[in-house]
Amino acid sequence: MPVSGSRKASIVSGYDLVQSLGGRRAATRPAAEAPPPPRPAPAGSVALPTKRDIACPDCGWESHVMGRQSYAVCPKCRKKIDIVDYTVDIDFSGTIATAGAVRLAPGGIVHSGEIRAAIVDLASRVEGGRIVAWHRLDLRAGAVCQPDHIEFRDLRLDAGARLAFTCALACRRLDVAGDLEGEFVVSGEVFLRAGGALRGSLRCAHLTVEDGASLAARLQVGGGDPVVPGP
Amino acid sequence: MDNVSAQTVIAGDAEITGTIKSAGTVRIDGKLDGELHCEKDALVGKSAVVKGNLNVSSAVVEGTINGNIVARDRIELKASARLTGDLKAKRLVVEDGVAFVGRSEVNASGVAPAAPQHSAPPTPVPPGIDANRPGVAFPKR
Repeated sequence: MPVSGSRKASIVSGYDLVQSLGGRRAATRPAAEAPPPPRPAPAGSVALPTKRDIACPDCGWESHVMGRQSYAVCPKCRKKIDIVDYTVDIDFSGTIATAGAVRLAPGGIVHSGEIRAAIVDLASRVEGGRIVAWHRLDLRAGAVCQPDHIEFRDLRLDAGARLAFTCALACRRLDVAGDLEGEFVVSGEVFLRAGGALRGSLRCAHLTVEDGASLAARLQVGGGDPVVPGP
Repeated sequence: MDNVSAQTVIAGDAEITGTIKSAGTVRIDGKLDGELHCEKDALVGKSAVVKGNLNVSSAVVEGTINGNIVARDRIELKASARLTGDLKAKRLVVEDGVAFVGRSEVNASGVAPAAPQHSAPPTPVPPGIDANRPGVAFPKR
């Protein structure tokens, strides 16, 4: 064993020690290059249940629920709130009141009754009744929307969808890729997509028009929130 | 369009009263009190203030215009644009942030719109409508 010193080893050279072994150990991977021990799994990734905003169909009070639930209790009026999503693809004349979504699938026809939901996805025919979408109304291509009464906060028209209103309408947001006609007062944004058409009158805070859209309307855009005339 | 491509440039410290007719492109950064007839494109810069009508091939507006714009092809309103007047074009692009009061007549398909053009003053919104409340309406049958 090579040592530094004459008789008594005081310092052992590790390099010389390895070389003395004939290079066999030197060919092996040094300890410094050994694969590092596996890192512990990162802590802090806690899966939270999904949060869902709901509104009471009766009193309109907005709250939220966590996780997947089929019903909740309104913190204001203490009534039971249905959170189930429904799909209507038959002739329908009843009443649906849910804080979830209602999809009116093609093939179904709403003759009368009332549908109250957070999101109403309309892809069929509505020939009467009341439609109340406290959050958003989606109108798909080919849908026929002729209810007796309709309420919504946001409106989204797909390409190919057509909707016309005979009276003034106030809402929060318009997203138009189809054909929309009427007199609108929008507190938020109006997005007119390519291929979409808007006719009538429009007062809004923000307007974005894509190239290829048609806009034939009287406009009042920006300059603060649209002023709604009082009584 | 920038300064290099613009054939006629009205600088920011210039103020012109009268009608400008140009066969080339025009860039306006100053003040124009009058009309602009341009065979090609027009750019109204951010610092520009135009009081008059624009009759152009296409227009890019970043500044302030008090007047009507008639474009044979395209009008583009940038976010800083302030337009008080009517516009008419085949194509329209509007960025978020634009202030615009007037009438728009834009038909990308080239077909006359089905709805008649309104010449009467805007119909007042019925009292009691709150823009922050859900819309209530009666669709046309």
